[in-house]
Amino acid sequence: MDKMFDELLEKRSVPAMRSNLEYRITQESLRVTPKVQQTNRLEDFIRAFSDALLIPKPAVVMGLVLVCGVFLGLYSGDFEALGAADEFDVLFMVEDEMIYGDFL
Amino acid sequence: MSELEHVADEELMIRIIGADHEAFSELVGRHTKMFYAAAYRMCANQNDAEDIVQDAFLKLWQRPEAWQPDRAAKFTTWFYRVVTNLSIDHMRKAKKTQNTKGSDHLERIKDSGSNQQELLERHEQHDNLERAIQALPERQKVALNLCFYEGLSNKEAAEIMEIGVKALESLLIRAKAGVKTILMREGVLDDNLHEPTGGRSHG
Repeated sequence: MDKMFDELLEKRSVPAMRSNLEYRITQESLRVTPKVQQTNRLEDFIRAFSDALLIPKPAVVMGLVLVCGVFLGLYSGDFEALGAADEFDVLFMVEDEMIYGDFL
Repeated sequence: MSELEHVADEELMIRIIGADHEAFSELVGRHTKMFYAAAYRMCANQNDAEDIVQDAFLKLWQRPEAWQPDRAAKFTTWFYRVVTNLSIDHMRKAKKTQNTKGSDHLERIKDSGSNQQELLERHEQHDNLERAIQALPERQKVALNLCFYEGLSNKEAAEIMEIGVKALESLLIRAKAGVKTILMREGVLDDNLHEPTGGRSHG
């Protein structure tokens, strides 16, 4: 049924345009001057600089950075070398054994 | 053979931004026919469609930077939007849609000599269909034209209309249903989508 209806819709036709329409448009365009965008060098530099810094998908990039950070942290040699009991002390820089004169 | 013949539309646009008239002429020669058809389907009037396409290309020549290459927009997709918007503006201003009635086709039939009866029947068929499509709400008509007649993908058409793909599909379904209802109501089609024999004539 839908196919039959589509066939009916396909019977719609468009009358041919006048053969010189393209010529008319190009001739008409010669009478008007294009408004070329005026920019200065500083503006161009700022635009190029900001384009260079532009991150196409910031959320994806931040997610990747986070995942990479976690993996690097987990698999770094320093982390493995630490005993579970030492972690707290290392993180908070607590000195277990104070020897007299250490601060002097 | 022009050296620009194999240059992509987007490359031509970059040259047009630099006021290259040769590139503009190439683009006009390449796409006028296609966009004229698109404009005609919107307004159903030959002269109006030609004016719309001319206006669209002249606007492009005057302000080519309206197309932004960094947005990675395909030229034709962007220009469909320009032509569609101009057609809608034109229709709103002129409010002619109900009065067009395929007069261009009648003129052509008068001009042609062979098999008048067959031509008149074809004209009537075209006229009924055209009137049904023109009677659709604006957005439904645009959706139908872009997807069905211009052969654009739903994604491209949705992009042109600045709506979601789901919304476009809904418009398309309603458009087809609308045309079907109008044609049935006017007795042009029966319930089985056949044209009744000796179908009604519209004056």
